[in-house]
Amino acid sequence: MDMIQENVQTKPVNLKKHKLRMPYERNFAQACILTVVIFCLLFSFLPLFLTLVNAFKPDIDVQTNAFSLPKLASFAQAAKNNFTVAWAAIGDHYFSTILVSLLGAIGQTVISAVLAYILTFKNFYFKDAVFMLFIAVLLVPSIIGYPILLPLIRDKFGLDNSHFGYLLPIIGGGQVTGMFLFKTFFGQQPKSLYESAKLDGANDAIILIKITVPLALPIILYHFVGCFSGIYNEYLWASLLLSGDKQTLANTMESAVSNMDVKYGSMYAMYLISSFPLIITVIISMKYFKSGEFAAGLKL
Amino acid sequence: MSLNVTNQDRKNAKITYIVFGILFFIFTCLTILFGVLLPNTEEITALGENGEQLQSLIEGKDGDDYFLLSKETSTLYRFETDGNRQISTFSMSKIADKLKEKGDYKEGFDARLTQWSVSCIGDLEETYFLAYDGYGDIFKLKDDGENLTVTDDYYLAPEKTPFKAIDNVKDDLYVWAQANGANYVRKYSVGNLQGGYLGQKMLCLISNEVEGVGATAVTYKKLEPLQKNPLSFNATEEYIYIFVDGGMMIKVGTALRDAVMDGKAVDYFPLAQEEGHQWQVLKQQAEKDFFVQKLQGKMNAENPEYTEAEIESASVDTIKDWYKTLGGKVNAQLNKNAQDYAKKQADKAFNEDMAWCHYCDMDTVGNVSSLLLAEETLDETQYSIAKWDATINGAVYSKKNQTAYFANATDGYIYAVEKADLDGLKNASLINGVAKRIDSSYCGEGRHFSSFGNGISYNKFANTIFIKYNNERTLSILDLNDKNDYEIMHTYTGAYNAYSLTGNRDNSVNLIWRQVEVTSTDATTVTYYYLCSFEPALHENKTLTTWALVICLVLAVLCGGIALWLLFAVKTDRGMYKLQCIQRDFKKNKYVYLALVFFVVLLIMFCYYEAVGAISMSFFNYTREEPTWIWNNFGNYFKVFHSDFWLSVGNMLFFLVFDLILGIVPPVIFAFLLILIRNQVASNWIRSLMFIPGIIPGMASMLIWREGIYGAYGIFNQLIPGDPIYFMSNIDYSRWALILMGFPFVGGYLIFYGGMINIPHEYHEAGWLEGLGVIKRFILIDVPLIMPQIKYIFIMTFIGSVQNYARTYILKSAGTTTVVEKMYRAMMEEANYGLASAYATLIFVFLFFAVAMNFKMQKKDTMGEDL
Repeated sequence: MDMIQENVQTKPVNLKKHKLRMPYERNFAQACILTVVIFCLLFSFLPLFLTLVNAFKPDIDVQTNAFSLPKLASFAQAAKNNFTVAWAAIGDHYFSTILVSLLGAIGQTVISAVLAYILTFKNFYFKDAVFMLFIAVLLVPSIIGYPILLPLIRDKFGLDNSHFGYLLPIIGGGQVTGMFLFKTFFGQQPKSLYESAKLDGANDAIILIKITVPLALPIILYHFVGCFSGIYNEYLWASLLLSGDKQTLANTMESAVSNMDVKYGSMYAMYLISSFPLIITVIISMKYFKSGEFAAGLKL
Repeated sequence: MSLNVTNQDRKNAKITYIVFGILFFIFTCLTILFGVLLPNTEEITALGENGEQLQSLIEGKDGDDYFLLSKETSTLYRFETDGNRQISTFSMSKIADKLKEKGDYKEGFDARLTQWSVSCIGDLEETYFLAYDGYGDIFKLKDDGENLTVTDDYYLAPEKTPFKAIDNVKDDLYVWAQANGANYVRKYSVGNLQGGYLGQKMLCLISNEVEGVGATAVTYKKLEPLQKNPLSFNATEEYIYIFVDGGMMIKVGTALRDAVMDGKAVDYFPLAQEEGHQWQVLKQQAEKDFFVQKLQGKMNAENPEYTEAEIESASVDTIKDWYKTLGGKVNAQLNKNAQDYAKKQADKAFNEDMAWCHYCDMDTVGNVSSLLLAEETLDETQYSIAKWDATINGAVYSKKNQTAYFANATDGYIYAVEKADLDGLKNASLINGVAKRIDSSYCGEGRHFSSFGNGISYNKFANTIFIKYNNERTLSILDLNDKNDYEIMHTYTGAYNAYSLTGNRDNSVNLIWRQVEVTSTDATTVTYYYLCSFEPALHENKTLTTWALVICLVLAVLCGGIALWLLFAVKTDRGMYKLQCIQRDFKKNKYVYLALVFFVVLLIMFCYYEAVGAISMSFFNYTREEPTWIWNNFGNYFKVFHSDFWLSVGNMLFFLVFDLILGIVPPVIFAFLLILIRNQVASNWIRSLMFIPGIIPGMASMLIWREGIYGAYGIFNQLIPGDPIYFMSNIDYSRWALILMGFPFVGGYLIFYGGMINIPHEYHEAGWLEGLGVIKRFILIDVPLIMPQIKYIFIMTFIGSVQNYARTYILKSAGTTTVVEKMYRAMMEEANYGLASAYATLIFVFLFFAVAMNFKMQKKDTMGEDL
């Protein structure tokens, strides 16, 4: 972090005085670079652009020219129609899915953080063995366990079609990735802080809450945001366990589109509605990860 | 830590290992004890083990015994319910022997032996069994308590009328038969089968629509009978209740004509005709006075004399006479007679209530059989059909309680309807009307009654109902004895998907379950049949004992392991030192270990259990319908390799290569371009904006590509003139379209950017001074320095790509099936978990080796760097 701040602050002064511009810093080269970058940026916006534009157009306009902007004359009526149809298709599942994703993400992050804390700062004899026990799971593709997992949750635990049963394996199995990520970052934190905290008589809970978590907040948020959108987008496990009212948004959307319940304009209105919860995660991401600095620790 | 081992320590350690040794011994003994105690009575016979087809189980008269009918050997085995001992056997060939003895034997009778069914006629003075074949013959078997003997009293059907169900009220025997394209209820006298049958009612159910019996005859050009299977067929004094598949009850009055027609009830004679002739309509005018309204078509080509014959109407007797006089050829001359007859009858209007009609099939020779007819005035009090909206997955009728019970699949409850309500019922909704819901029978959220045959079965000896559930090996028992308080008495877990079962007085159940097995060598399937028995007491013991056995075994292994380790540890100083370390560690970190238990339990429950289970399951037959752990000699793997497995591997590798290239190359270049941007404000803005497309959820994004971009009205088809191109269903385009998804592939740039921004600026300056251009700098400085990030993304993309079933599954692309999609389909569509596990295991093996190799290569790299 220090280094970047230094760069940003000192760059204008130092560079201007001591050295010439590098070739790529010439105006023409910069213009070329910017063109390519903006081209990529624009194409990345394609799905979002289609969604934003078509959600407010009548079906016929969507079919003929998906790129055209909504017409002022038909805007209000089309928007009303599209959003009514879209809400009818997914409205019942909307808030429950957000809540479930939120709970799942919180559970997964908290458990991962505690586990990573234990495996980073506690010294015990079987530490390496326990760590290997957890890490070995990363080699097993998560998808292979479902034929066993489904009867376990549904029949043995009796949690068929329940959100609790849905979240249990997500939290229980998801702790490993989070732990691995957090352990890398916790390990990079200055040891001196912990030693002084211990001298001041802080116990593990206080150290975790007051030192570890604040120091690693960006990566914890990164994991939280990832978990949230991961659960929010979950398809397979939800399609196996949940049905009817309990079904999650991703499955509801897929079946609504496949059954042709929502088409054209209303289809895009549905995507737009489903996007709202992710706006918050995107804002968090923008605030913390724009610099890309957190990625320094992401390595194998 | 210094090594300080005293003799006292050694002594303590020795005591510890002796204690563990004793514990090991105790638990081992307990394990053996429970193993011996484990009741092993569920499979009581090996009859079906060689694939012998067991057909059905039949209740004995008073619940002391039951019968097992084997289709393959045409044998009826008699079993004692108590102890499940086989008492006697009865071979169906004895029936043929009886016919030979009586001189009634016809050629081909032996061939029918495999089609026998048997039913017990209980409430007579003597116990009889009725054996009936798929042809309509009935034999009476007398039971002396141990053996069955064929009696002289039997009925040989003149034409094929397969019986679907049979029941009796005292001496009256009612049969549901299907012949010549119609359903019948026939009545026989149990006391005298030789007398033929007494009469019948025809159930005209056309195209699933209920059409009242005896409606206008002319409308019946062709009867298409409802091909329904009976769930339950019950005769009572006044009515016969037939519950059929799909939630329908047919109620037929038992007032069938009590007169025997000519000794044999069927008017049966051949009529020489060619194909193309048909009896169109037959009407009954009065008893034994039948009336052919129209007979048309060409006559026998060998006899040109009779080429055209159009008979408007003739009585059956007339036709019989024609047949006798003309040797089987209907003369056109007789047309006139028939017309005369018709005229004579013209003033007698057809009474629709009495009218009957029947469509006759002809064989290729032209023989028309069975001018069949009902004899009754058919009014609504005698006949009705009730249909209800709910899906009924099972129906039974208890004569003792005079109540019918329905398993309503729609809401998951069993309903009871009393006989009085059934009698008053016409085309009414039963469930929403008079039926009484049995609250305790609720099968549970998300659980369903078995749709495999009849979801519920009645145990007349204990007056209980066995409830079967879908995709489960569970049987529940509903007690019907207290009408005001029905309760679930007992639940057997581990009771297999039974397709035929009988209950006993103590609520134990005998059942046949079927297992389809894939043989390893040529991936063909063989069906095995097993006869099992579940007893309440034994079953509970078994569950408990199994648990005890597992726990003891685990403890024994644990104690044994510790004792063994201690045994060697005390001998050396090093071992003692280790022991002391561990002891101290446990004391010091007891809360850490306690906390870890929580995480490890979660891990084992939701990761290891699944992984180990799935890999084991891939060697067994395990489907949703038949969730049984049966070793199938690598049958799942043979099935995998017999399918187009290598094609899917090819697709998987194709996507893997492109995912790796597109997941790394464009983002790295994009990140590099961002680094090169001089204007920090612009760079900041671009990086902020790059987050915004992320607000579209992954599923929505995939659906946008599917419908909005590649769809028939998607932007590609809007831009390209001409007929719409179906990118996803066209094999030429589909895989490239999938690759193109996510253009311009720069979404994952951030991690590389983060890596690059941390590269000290001095490196670049030094490179520039050495004369490195931008491209060379990128290759020689930036890429090597962000290698850790690239490796991270490489492994993550590798694992993600191999496991990505959603891309091809949700985009419904053709010709792009990957291994993981095949696994998903095996699991979701075929519900074959064993097969899905085989795919999963192969994916695991592939990933394991790929990732392990990757780690190894990286280790080499880092070692190289260190040196």
